[in-house]
Amino acid sequence: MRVVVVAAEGEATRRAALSLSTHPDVEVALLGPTTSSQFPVVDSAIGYDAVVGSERAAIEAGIPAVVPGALERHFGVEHCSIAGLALALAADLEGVGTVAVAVPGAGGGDQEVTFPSPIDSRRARAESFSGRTVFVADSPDDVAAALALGQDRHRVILDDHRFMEGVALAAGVGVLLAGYESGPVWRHAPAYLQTATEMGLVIGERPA
Amino acid sequence: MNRLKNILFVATVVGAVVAFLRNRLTEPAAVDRGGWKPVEPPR
Repeated sequence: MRVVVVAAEGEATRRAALSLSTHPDVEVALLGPTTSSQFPVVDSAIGYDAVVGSERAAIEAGIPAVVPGALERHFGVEHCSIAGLALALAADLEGVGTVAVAVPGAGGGDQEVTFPSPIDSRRARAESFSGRTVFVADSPDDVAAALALGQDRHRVILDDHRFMEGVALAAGVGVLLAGYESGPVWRHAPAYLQTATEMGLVIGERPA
Repeated sequence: MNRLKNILFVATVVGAVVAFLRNRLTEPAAVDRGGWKPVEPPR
């Protein structure tokens, strides 16, 4: 059993707390100042097993952080995000060509990437995530997608943007549950994706 | 007049039954999902 503290600083972290509360091996508390009728609210992460969403609080408590971006001064699970999901999908594919995400409001670029419907063909720009390139495209409405195109197989996760963002963050705790303490999610892709699917995401695959 | 009403009533009922049976017996339209199939996470 892991007891984690979630820094409830936005919708993604609040949704991550809800997703984590469905996991049988995780207990959740929120890091104050905040209010909640659903979770205990604590002032410090000291004595807990991990902090979700805040590197600073993890440093203060000396425990692993689980964050959507890169960690700068501490250890923990990095890139627990939609881009991280795409890179995790690509982790064991042979001859990976394109790794891409589509999120609402992301803007465009000069590379064309074709996502499954309803996102379809989009203009994307290349962004670097700890040295890995992911093409980032705009998506319509509230839909998001993580796409990995390998030489033989293509993989995708497509879902409601906010739900996907919350699960992508929460699933980083699955990496800790599997016994790892640090690294980007794509280095521990099986544990990360297994937890993400247990929390409700579905991986689609087709021949290239 | 009553006979005409009865004929119309019977025709309506028969039409509804035929429409119902046709819907039940017709093959469902194939949904094009672009070849994507749900899979277990890689191990």
